[in-house]
Amino acid sequence: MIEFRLKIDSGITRVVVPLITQCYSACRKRRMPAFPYLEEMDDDLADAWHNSLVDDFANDRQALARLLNNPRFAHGYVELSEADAELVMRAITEVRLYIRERHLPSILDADLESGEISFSKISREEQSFYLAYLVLAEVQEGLIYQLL
Amino acid sequence: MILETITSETTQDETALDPDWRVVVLNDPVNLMNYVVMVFRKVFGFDENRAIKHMREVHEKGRSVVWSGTRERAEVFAYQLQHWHLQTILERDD
Repeated sequence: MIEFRLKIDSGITRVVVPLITQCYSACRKRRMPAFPYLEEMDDDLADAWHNSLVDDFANDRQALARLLNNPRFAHGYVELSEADAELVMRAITEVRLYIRERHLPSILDADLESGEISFSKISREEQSFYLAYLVLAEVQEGLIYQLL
Repeated sequence: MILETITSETTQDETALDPDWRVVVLNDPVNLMNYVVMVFRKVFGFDENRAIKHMREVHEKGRSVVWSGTRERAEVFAYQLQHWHLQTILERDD
């Protein structure tokens, strides 16, 4: 069992959990990664590749759902089985990518990467989703620390 | 994994004559640096220094060739990296 407490005010966690849940549900409609061959296209392989990723991503999301459905998560506690840890990390990355694409498109890559984002210059909705994005990063950092 | 079976069937006759293939990871602004390092260590078994070197290359140059070799293995690595949500392409190593 992996257990740790987020270094974030639990008031923030409670606010962002519904947003994370909303994004988690919408992730299944997200554009899939491009087939990695740039110069050639094997339709059968591309289909198998795509379908296999769809299944693997769905499996990862189920693990994230187990974490989100734990009522203690909203209070800042991360509790999950070791078997779920890698799946949750991948699913968190997918949700963060979705938040970036869907809810934070106006933020420059360089600003997002450096974390130098002025709250006063983004809308209230963007502020909320950016907080969700940061909370997920905190969960991921905690999991990496636990696993290494 | 379904894909491993398919790639094995479709490439086993080609590997002897095929050129090597490069697995290339592209930069993105979302993934945490230590996440990328962890993924490289898990997927390729890199030690920490080598994983950090490739992560920095991705971050600073926008891309890093993380592995090269047979097409079949390159596909397996590319699939694993995409499963971890790293932007990955395969290039012929001419």
